Amino acid sequence: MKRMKGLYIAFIVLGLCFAAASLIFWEAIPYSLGTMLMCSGSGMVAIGLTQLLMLRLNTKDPAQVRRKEIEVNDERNVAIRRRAKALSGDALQWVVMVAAWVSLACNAPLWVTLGMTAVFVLKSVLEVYLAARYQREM
Amino acid sequence: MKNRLEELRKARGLRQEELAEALEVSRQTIGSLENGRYNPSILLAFKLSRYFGVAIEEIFIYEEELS
Repeated sequence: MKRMKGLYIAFIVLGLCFAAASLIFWEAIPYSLGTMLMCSGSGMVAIGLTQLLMLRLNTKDPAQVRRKEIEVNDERNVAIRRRAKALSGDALQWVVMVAAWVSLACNAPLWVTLGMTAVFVLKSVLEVYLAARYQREM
Repeated sequence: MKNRLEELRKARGLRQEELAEALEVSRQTIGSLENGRYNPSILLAFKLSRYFGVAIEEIFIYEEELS
Protein backbone atom coordinates (compact mmCIF):
# COMPACT_ATOMS: atom_id res chain seq x y z
CA MET A 1 0.00 0.00 0.00
CA LYS A 2 2.78 2.42 0.99
CA ARG A 3 4.70 1.48 -2.16
CA MET A 4 1.69 2.29 -4.32
CA LYS A 5 1.14 5.58 -2.48
CA GLY A 6 4.78 6.51 -3.12
CA LEU A 7 4.43 5.57 -6.77
CA TYR A 8 1.35 7.75 -7.24
CA ILE A 9 3.00 10.69 -5.46
CA ALA A 10 6.04 10.30 -7.73
CA PHE A 11 3.66 10.25 -10.69
CA ILE A 12 2.08 13.54 -9.57
CA VAL A 13 5.47 15.18 -8.96
CA LEU A 14 6.74 14.06 -12.36
CA GLY A 15 3.57 15.33 -14.00
CA LEU A 16 3.96 18.70 -12.29
CA CYS A 17 7.61 18.85 -13.44
CA PHE A 18 6.52 18.17 -17.04
CA ALA A 19 3.84 20.86 -16.90
CA ALA A 20 6.23 23.34 -15.26
CA ALA A 21 8.95 22.61 -17.82
CA SER A 22 6.45 23.20 -20.60
CA LEU A 23 5.49 26.60 -19.14
CA ILE A 24 9.07 27.69 -18.34
CA PHE A 25 10.56 26.68 -21.69
CA TRP A 26 7.47 27.46 -23.81
CA GLU A 27 9.34 30.01 -25.94
CA ALA A 28 12.53 27.98 -26.24
CA ILE A 29 11.14 24.60 -27.26
CA PRO A 30 9.09 23.59 -30.32
CA TYR A 31 5.33 24.04 -29.98
CA SER A 32 4.64 20.31 -30.40
CA LEU A 33 7.08 19.40 -27.61
CA GLY A 34 5.62 22.03 -25.29
CA THR A 35 2.08 20.78 -25.92
CA MET A 36 3.17 17.18 -25.44
CA LEU A 37 4.83 18.02 -22.10
CA MET A 38 1.80 19.94 -20.87
CA CYS A 39 -0.69 17.24 -21.94
CA SER A 40 1.29 14.33 -20.52
CA GLY A 41 2.08 16.30 -17.34
CA SER A 42 -1.51 17.24 -16.62
CA GLY A 43 -2.62 13.69 -17.48
CA MET A 44 -0.12 12.23 -15.04
CA VAL A 45 -1.24 14.60 -12.28
CA ALA A 46 -4.88 13.70 -12.88
CA ILE A 47 -4.18 9.95 -12.89
CA GLY A 48 -1.98 10.20 -9.78
CA LEU A 49 -4.57 12.22 -7.85
CA THR A 50 -7.40 9.87 -8.84
CA GLN A 51 -5.41 6.80 -7.80
CA LEU A 52 -4.43 8.41 -4.49
CA LEU A 53 -8.09 9.20 -3.82
CA MET A 54 -9.08 5.61 -4.65
CA LEU A 55 -6.37 4.31 -2.33
CA ARG A 56 -7.68 6.52 0.46
CA LEU A 57 -11.26 5.34 -0.08
CA ASN A 58 -10.12 1.70 -0.18
CA THR A 59 -8.32 1.95 3.17
CA LYS A 60 -11.49 3.38 4.72
CA ASP A 61 -13.68 0.49 3.52
CA PRO A 62 -11.86 -2.87 3.10
CA ALA A 63 -15.20 -4.69 2.67
CA GLN A 64 -15.92 -2.58 -0.39
CA VAL A 65 -12.48 -3.49 -1.79
CA ARG A 66 -13.24 -7.18 -1.26
CA ARG A 67 -16.60 -6.81 -3.04
CA LYS A 68 -14.92 -5.07 -5.98
CA GLU A 69 -12.26 -7.79 -6.12
CA ILE A 70 -14.97 -10.46 -6.26
CA GLU A 71 -16.82 -8.55 -8.99
CA VAL A 72 -13.65 -8.27 -11.10
CA ASN A 73 -12.58 -11.90 -10.66
CA ASP A 74 -16.07 -13.40 -10.89
CA GLU A 75 -15.91 -16.12 -13.58
CA ARG A 76 -19.13 -14.98 -15.30
CA ASN A 77 -17.93 -11.36 -15.42
CA VAL A 78 -14.55 -12.51 -16.80
CA ALA A 79 -16.32 -14.56 -19.50
CA ILE A 80 -18.58 -11.61 -20.37
CA ARG A 81 -15.61 -9.24 -20.65
CA ARG A 82 -13.67 -11.69 -22.85
CA ARG A 83 -16.63 -12.26 -25.14
CA ALA A 84 -17.30 -8.53 -25.43
CA LYS A 85 -13.64 -7.83 -26.22
CA ALA A 86 -13.51 -10.55 -28.87
CA LEU A 87 -16.73 -9.43 -30.54
CA SER A 88 -15.81 -5.74 -30.50
CA GLY A 89 -12.38 -6.65 -31.94
CA ASP A 90 -14.06 -8.53 -34.79
CA ALA A 91 -16.46 -5.69 -35.45
CA LEU A 92 -13.67 -3.13 -35.41
CA GLN A 93 -11.63 -5.21 -37.87
CA TRP A 94 -14.48 -5.10 -40.40
CA VAL A 95 -15.07 -1.41 -39.76
CA VAL A 96 -11.40 -0.82 -40.64
CA MET A 97 -11.83 -2.82 -43.86
CA VAL A 98 -14.95 -0.85 -44.81
CA ALA A 99 -13.08 2.38 -44.06
CA ALA A 100 -10.29 1.20 -46.37
CA TRP A 101 -12.84 0.76 -49.19
CA VAL A 102 -14.36 4.17 -48.43
CA SER A 103 -10.88 5.74 -48.52
CA LEU A 104 -10.38 4.23 -51.98
CA ALA A 105 -13.69 5.64 -53.14
CA CYS A 106 -12.79 9.05 -51.73
CA ASN A 107 -9.43 9.10 -53.50
CA ALA A 108 -7.59 9.31 -50.18
CA PRO A 109 -3.79 8.98 -50.25
CA LEU A 110 -2.65 5.41 -50.91
CA TRP A 111 -0.87 5.11 -47.54
CA VAL A 112 -4.22 5.58 -45.77
CA THR A 113 -5.78 2.62 -47.62
CA LEU A 114 -2.65 0.50 -47.27
CA GLY A 115 -2.39 1.36 -43.56
CA MET A 116 -5.95 0.25 -42.91
CA THR A 117 -5.49 -2.93 -44.92
CA ALA A 118 -2.31 -3.65 -42.96
CA VAL A 119 -4.26 -3.28 -39.68
CA PHE A 120 -6.89 -5.72 -41.00
CA VAL A 121 -4.24 -8.27 -42.03
CA LEU A 122 -2.28 -7.84 -38.79
CA LYS A 123 -5.41 -8.53 -36.72
CA SER A 124 -6.14 -11.67 -38.77
CA VAL A 125 -2.56 -12.93 -38.40
CA LEU A 126 -2.58 -12.23 -34.66
CA GLU A 127 -5.86 -14.10 -34.33
CA VAL A 128 -4.48 -17.18 -36.11
CA TYR A 129 -1.26 -17.05 -34.03
CA LEU A 130 -3.16 -16.77 -30.74
CA ALA A 131 -5.57 -19.55 -31.75
CA ALA A 132 -2.60 -21.84 -32.52
CA ARG A 133 -0.94 -20.91 -29.21
CA TYR A 134 -4.09 -21.61 -27.21
CA GLN A 135 -4.51 -24.93 -29.07
CA ARG A 136 -1.12 -25.97 -27.69
CA GLU A 137 -1.78 -24.62 -24.20
CA MET A 138 -5.29 -25.97 -23.64
CA MET B 1 -28.63 -27.10 -18.16
CA LYS B 2 -31.28 -27.35 -15.44
CA ASN B 3 -30.25 -27.20 -11.80
CA ARG B 4 -31.62 -27.37 -8.26
CA LEU B 5 -29.59 -24.43 -6.98
CA GLU B 6 -32.53 -22.21 -6.06
CA GLU B 7 -34.24 -25.09 -4.27
CA LEU B 8 -31.09 -25.97 -2.30
CA ARG B 9 -30.40 -22.35 -1.43
CA LYS B 10 -33.94 -21.69 -0.24
CA ALA B 11 -33.95 -24.91 1.75
CA ARG B 12 -31.04 -23.50 3.72
CA GLY B 13 -32.72 -20.14 4.13
CA LEU B 14 -29.99 -18.30 2.24
CA ARG B 15 -30.27 -15.15 0.17
CA GLN B 16 -28.49 -14.97 -3.19
CA GLU B 17 -26.10 -12.39 -1.71
CA GLU B 18 -25.12 -14.72 1.13
CA LEU B 19 -24.47 -17.65 -1.17
CA ALA B 20 -22.51 -15.42 -3.53
CA GLU B 21 -20.36 -14.14 -0.67
CA ALA B 22 -19.67 -17.68 0.58
CA LEU B 23 -18.60 -18.82 -2.89
CA GLU B 24 -16.76 -15.58 -3.71
CA VAL B 25 -18.78 -14.87 -6.83
CA SER B 26 -21.14 -12.03 -7.72
CA ARG B 27 -24.83 -12.12 -6.84
CA GLN B 28 -25.60 -11.84 -10.56
CA THR B 29 -23.73 -15.09 -11.18
CA ILE B 30 -25.92 -16.89 -8.65
CA GLY B 31 -29.01 -15.39 -10.30
CA SER B 32 -27.88 -16.45 -13.77
CA LEU B 33 -27.05 -19.96 -12.54
CA GLU B 34 -30.48 -20.31 -10.95
CA ASN B 35 -32.21 -19.12 -14.12
CA GLY B 36 -30.16 -21.56 -16.19
CA ARG B 37 -28.72 -18.74 -18.29
CA TYR B 38 -25.16 -19.54 -17.26
CA ASN B 39 -23.38 -22.87 -16.85
CA PRO B 40 -20.65 -22.74 -14.20
CA SER B 41 -17.04 -23.77 -14.61
CA ILE B 42 -16.12 -27.13 -13.15
CA LEU B 43 -14.41 -25.30 -10.25
CA LEU B 44 -17.55 -23.39 -9.33
CA ALA B 45 -19.62 -26.57 -9.71
CA PHE B 46 -17.31 -28.29 -7.20
CA LYS B 47 -17.48 -25.30 -4.86
CA LEU B 48 -21.29 -25.47 -4.96
CA SER B 49 -21.23 -29.21 -4.43
CA ARG B 50 -18.94 -28.90 -1.38
CA TYR B 51 -20.91 -25.98 0.00
CA PHE B 52 -24.25 -27.83 -0.09
CA GLY B 53 -22.68 -31.19 0.75
CA VAL B 54 -24.23 -32.96 -2.22
CA ALA B 55 -22.85 -34.47 -5.43
CA ILE B 56 -22.58 -32.27 -8.51
CA GLU B 57 -25.12 -34.51 -10.26
CA GLU B 58 -27.61 -33.69 -7.52
CA ILE B 59 -27.32 -29.98 -8.27
CA PHE B 60 -27.00 -29.97 -12.04
CA ILE B 61 -29.25 -32.08 -14.19
CA TYR B 62 -27.64 -33.11 -17.45
CA GLU B 63 -30.11 -34.03 -20.15
CA GLU B 64 -28.68 -35.49 -23.31
CA GLU B 65 -29.89 -33.76 -26.43
CA LEU B 66 -31.96 -36.03 -28.64
CA SER B 67 -31.01 -35.68 -32.27
